[in-house]
Amino acid sequence: MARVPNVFNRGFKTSCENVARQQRRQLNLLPSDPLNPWTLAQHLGIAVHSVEDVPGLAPDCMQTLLRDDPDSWSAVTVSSGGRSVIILNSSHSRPRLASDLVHEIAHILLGHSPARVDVTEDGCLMLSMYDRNQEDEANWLAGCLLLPRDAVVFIRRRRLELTAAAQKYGTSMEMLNYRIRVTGVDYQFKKALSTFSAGN
Amino acid sequence: MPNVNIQMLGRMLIEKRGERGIREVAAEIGVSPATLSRVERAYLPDLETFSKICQWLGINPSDVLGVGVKTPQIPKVAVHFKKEAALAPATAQALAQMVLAAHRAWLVTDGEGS
Repeated sequence: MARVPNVFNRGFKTSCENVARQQRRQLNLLPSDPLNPWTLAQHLGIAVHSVEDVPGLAPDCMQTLLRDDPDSWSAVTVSSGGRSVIILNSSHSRPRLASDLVHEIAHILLGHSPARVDVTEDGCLMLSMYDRNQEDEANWLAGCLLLPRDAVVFIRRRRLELTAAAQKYGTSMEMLNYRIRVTGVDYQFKKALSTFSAGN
Repeated sequence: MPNVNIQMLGRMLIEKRGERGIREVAAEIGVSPATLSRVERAYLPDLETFSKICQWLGINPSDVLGVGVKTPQIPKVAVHFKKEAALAPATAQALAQMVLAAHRAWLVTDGEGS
């Protein structure tokens, strides 16, 4: 999320804001309402589970994924026959889980191809990574879904305290500050204020 | 060169690199020094890194992947990592088990093999 991508195709950012509005509309939400990623997943027919939910997974695998090496992975999307299941790393905080989940949903909404996967002879999972452009696109759409421009404007207009705003929208402070910065809402408010002041 | 495993890949890298610095060799292969160091310690690289390393070592990737050996059916899978370009072997094995178990439990339909 910290990396700001250099270039998107023309119109991509606007289309992401439109997707955020469209998904809210389908869930009977206002454009500036918080969007619960778990509700969105359910609406899209995507099952979401935690590692503990995976039937038959050996306890030592859970130990590795949740306690011994929890920082090396965030979420896994398994797709087959047009259906997708997202498994989240439940050792992470709720805002991080929301961010990870909406990132995976963004990949699906954008129609990104799943990574190729192989299993080595000794049973290790070997994957190709998403290409950088697809990661950037998913990050951008994920930010729009959690905190669309309409929500950032709402937060600033209502002068919501940022910690309370992050809690209301179920995001981390890092994500909130990032969205405030990249939407340019503060700059536009200042500009509007100075124009108004100059006119009086 | 049949039956090369990931541990052997790391040892082969160390052997071929010899006295040369890790930065110099990483640049030659086209990966980051941190990633090369991890693979030398038997961490599992992503496929792009893996194919670059195999090319540099002059070995066939299928010798490591065990193509031709009976492996479980692998679903189409998309994985999102935080930042790691290489995984510890235990983590890579646990992820493989989780993906296969999830696929069996939730995505295999009647008439489809497991």
